[in-house]
Amino acid sequence: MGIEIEGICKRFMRMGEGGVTEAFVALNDFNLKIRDNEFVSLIGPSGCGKTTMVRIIDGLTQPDSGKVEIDGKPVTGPGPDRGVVFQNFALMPWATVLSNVSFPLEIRGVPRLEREATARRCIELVGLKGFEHVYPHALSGGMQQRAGLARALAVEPRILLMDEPFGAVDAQTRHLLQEELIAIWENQHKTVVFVTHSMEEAVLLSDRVVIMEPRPGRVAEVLDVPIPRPRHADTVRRSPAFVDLSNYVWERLRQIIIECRNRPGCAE
Amino acid sequence: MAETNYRAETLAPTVAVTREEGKLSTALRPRRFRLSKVRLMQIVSIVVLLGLWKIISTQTSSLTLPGPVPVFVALVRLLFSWEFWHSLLISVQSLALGYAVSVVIGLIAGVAVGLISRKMGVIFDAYLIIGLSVPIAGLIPVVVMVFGIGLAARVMVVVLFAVFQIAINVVTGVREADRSLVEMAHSFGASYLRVFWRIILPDAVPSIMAGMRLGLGRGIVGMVTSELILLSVGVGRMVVKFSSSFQTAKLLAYLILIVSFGVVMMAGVQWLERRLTRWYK
Repeated sequence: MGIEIEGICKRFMRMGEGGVTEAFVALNDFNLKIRDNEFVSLIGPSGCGKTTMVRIIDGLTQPDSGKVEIDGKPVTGPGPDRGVVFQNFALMPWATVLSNVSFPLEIRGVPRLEREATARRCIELVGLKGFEHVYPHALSGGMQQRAGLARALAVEPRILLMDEPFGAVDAQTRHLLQEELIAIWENQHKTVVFVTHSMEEAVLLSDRVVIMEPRPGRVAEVLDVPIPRPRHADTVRRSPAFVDLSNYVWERLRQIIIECRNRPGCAE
Repeated sequence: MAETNYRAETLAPTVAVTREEGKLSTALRPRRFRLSKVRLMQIVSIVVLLGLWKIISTQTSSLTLPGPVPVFVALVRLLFSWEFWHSLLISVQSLALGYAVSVVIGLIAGVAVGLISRKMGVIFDAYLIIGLSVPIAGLIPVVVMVFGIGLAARVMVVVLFAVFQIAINVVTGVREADRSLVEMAHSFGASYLRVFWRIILPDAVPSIMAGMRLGLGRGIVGMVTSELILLSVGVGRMVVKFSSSFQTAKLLAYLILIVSFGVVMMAGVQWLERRLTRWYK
């Protein structure tokens, strides 16, 4: 059970030098098994296909070959068992926080009162109570992403896909959002696939960290994070295990980046 | 808000509430008359302009440029005259009908062109741009040949003036709809129809409203042009009548009134625009 990713390959056509379209291999033979209720982070340099992988799991992008199975059923498109938190928040600017959060339920045909009740619960859960009728542009980046998280939680997905969700918020807010995500996840137990650029964020949140290498994107190493739960962010950050693991992830990434730089057609 | 155990941004709700209260109190407080710098400069510029007008008009014949006073007198007289309101009513008929038709066609055509792929859309874009740049005034005789000299012809001219402007803006709005929002909706399982109604169309509203505003401006020009060139009724007839009989003061007064009418109409559309795009930064 869980998510099984087998031999995923994905190429994109893109404009190369001199306006020639060339193939760009985003993912090549990506394999990973994610257990139920597991928190897995994907980390790697730009161009390693982290985002593409999350999109393939969500069903927004179709792989060229390979397959993703959720509980044994192949993914063919977006489904109600998955909820996505987007890097750029993707909130409708003309809708209030409440209608943004209840939008996925509206899509599913949930009656108004019922979906608003659910949305209010999720808004409260992410600490946005009191902002139900505020428009996104009046919120800070961190608060917009809280709304984004509430929206993903509103559909009560078994799998939460988070594509660099805290990449666009400032460092302080990021720490708070991390703490709250830990708390929410430890309460709700969902499978989370979390894309990030931050070594510390990956280690702090995850059960396993998937280190990826670029050109073509594939798994370089899967690292277990044996830090016990429940985790308290401040305590974890000071623990030797956290420091060692973060340093190790950074060492691996450094190797990958330098190796890539020396390989023709890899560095950019 | 105090009962939430989230430390994040605990200050923010308080700030938001204070801002709300601030808004409330300014709304309740009787408005004091305050002259802003910009307003003052506006008044000064008008006074200077009127002064210059007065000085120049004393140097020239009243046939070419009457002074501000006779024009003002003519303006007040026109305002209370039957012929002004009657001419305006006739013109507004064709404007209202033509504008309504333009909005409907512009919206439907614009949405259709905007939704088809960008590559195919380019083919239609060319026609829209041609339609926008053709000197429509030159086509008025053709319109008259087809539609006669009745209301239909004048409506048609207004449509020709306004419809391309509206359609082009609708195309832009629909085509530039935020990709990440469209993907978000798809990701949560929205159908194409729902994506259109709930994402693409609302996202295009600022652009659509801009098109409606610009289209109205062109529609007003079209209305007067059609009446000036061939179809001598309404506003156009009055302009021709006053200018050919050298009643320059009346002509100027009349033009000022027509411009004011246009400004009021535009303000109406702008008001609607603001109401519909309040969420827009």
